[in-house]
Amino acid sequence: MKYHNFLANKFFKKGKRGYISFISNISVIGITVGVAALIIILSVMNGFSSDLKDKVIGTRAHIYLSSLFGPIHDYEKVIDKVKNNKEIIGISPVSSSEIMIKNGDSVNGGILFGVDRNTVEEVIKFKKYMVLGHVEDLSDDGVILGEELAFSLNATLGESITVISPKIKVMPDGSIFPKTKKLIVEGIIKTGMYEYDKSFLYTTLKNFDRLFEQPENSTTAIYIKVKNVYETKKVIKQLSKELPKNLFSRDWIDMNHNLFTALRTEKFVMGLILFIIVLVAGINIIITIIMMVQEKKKEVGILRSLGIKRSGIKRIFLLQGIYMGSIGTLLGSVIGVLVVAAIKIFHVKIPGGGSVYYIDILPVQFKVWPDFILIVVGVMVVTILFSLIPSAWASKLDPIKAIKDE
Amino acid sequence: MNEIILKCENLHKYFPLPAEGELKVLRGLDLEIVSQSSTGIIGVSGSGKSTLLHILGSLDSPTKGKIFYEEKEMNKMSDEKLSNLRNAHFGFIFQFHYLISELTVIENVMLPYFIKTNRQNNGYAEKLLSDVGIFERKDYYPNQLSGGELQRAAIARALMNKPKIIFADEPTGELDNENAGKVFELLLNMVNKYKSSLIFVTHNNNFAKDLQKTYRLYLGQLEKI
Ligand SMILES: Nc1ncnc2c1ncn2[C@@H]1O[C@H](COP(=O)(O)OP(=O)(O)OP(=O)(O)O)[C@@H](O)[C@H]1O
Ligand SMILES: [Mg+2]
Repeated sequence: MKYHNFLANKFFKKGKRGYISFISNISVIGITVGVAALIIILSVMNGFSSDLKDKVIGTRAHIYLSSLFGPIHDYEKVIDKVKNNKEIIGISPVSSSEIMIKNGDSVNGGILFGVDRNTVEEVIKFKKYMVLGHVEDLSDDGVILGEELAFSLNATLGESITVISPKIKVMPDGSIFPKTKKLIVEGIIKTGMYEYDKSFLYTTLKNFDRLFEQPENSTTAIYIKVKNVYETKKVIKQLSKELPKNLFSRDWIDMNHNLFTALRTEKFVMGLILFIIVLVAGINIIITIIMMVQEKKKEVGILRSLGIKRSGIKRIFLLQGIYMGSIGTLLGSVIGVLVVAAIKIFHVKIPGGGSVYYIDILPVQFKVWPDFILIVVGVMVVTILFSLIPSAWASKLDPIKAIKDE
Repeated sequence: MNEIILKCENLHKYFPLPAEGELKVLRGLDLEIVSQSSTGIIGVSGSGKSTLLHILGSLDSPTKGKIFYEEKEMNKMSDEKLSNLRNAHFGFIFQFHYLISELTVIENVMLPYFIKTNRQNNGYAEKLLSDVGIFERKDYYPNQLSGGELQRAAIARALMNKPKIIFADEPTGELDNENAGKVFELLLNMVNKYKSSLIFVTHNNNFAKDLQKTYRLYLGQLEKI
């Protein structure tokens, strides 16, 4: 063992009496609370963010391929051209358009999707989110409703609803009517994303094309899933080389840009606020070490007379700060991780959950990198930097004045 | 064999006075210490004995003048060099024992060696403790020892790194006459045994006769007696 560690240990263990011990305990508790709060709150925010991401990515595509003008014709040719790309793990045509839905007296706006029931599972996780029915069984006169939409239309399985397309029909007598069609409810889907469940409904691509008077084998978009959701930009680049110029791609990040930017900003601001707790704890450490130096002034003088260098004195007091920081960080980490684990295991309900946040269980996700590592490194850096100030002061004490304890 | 190891020339030390001017404690003082010698410095209280000892031991710096240790000028040495010098070549014994209260007696005695090498050496520390007669107290803490025992431990600590010079500033000042005599005798024996030089500050003239040379510090200068 190095003599600095030896002396620092002895001073730390035995030198704690009365108010010094009280204050150094407060410093340790401050760091413990700061670290635990950082871990818990950042984990909950990760939980929300990844829950949201899951739903966004699960119900919608990673890459949206669409045409500049009108629908994509002969989508099968386009699909054949790109589906050999190694990054692509799912591809399916999905049309969509805004429509009105009517059931009895209730009228709702919504977005109608036309899907290819054989391949759509590759890009939209129907199996996971369907609460009633199966997408493979969807008929050309059938529709799958989002759960919230079904509620507000008061429609259940087997009932028929009317969809009203923005296309108009000119009657032989010259009068015009919007084009309508009755569809039978054949399934209910619940993704947990309120916006989606409130307004999305799905029919077959064939039915969609008829309703919107599109030529057969056309689609408004091709949905693509890729292996790595963070490498969509790379895939988009590759696709643009292979495809005609009138087709263009956007990814899920572009489509949900505001949402994820907001989440990121919120997490950053939250982390910053919490880090202030740690800074305050760090200032506590400065004060604690100043008091320790004050109490150990005579010893500093004696040690200098025994030949300890300034750097050695500095290190002894720096170690006091490192001990306090380490104990606080360790305790805080244990408490933080335990609380996060408890939230995960016991499925903690959100007060007012379901109606307000649309998820009823508090989501948590503990990330070792970057969150945990940054917290630990950040706190230790703050501790060391803050401990350096009083330690440097201790090392500059004049040995004789210190021995006389002036 | 008996070469000069410590020498100071024209040493001055002034302390600023609270109002104005300065207190001139040392005024152009010269001194030479040869190896394996014993030197006494006496003088009335406030004459500057402690100040001189601290400056010679590199714990304080002079206002003016030069100090040489083995012909190297101490004023020009870095903190690191001076620290090593104090650790390996000097030993200090003060009026108060100044042991570290968090450490046991043996840990205190061994500390200079630990600082020097980053290794503990209990064997030599135990030998020194039995030399000064408190071996059986080695695992006690300082607050469990008597005044005389504490000074014996301080003597053992000062000798731990086999120093060339022991600086002793009234180490018996706090002891009763009987104990003071014993500790002084012990210190002389130890210094002889381990071949160190001793600079002994006291205002007790009785000790002077046992020292090879004695000076009186008077008006900032040393006069031989
Ligand atoms: N840091 C200081 N600042 C100002 N004056 C000081 C300082 N240290 C010592 N002095 C003064 O210098 C003078 C010499 O002090 P010093 O301690 O060397 O005396 P001394 O001979 O050791 O006395 P004693 O026998 O009482 O120990 C005293 O008048 C003291 O007040
Ligand atoms: Mg004195």
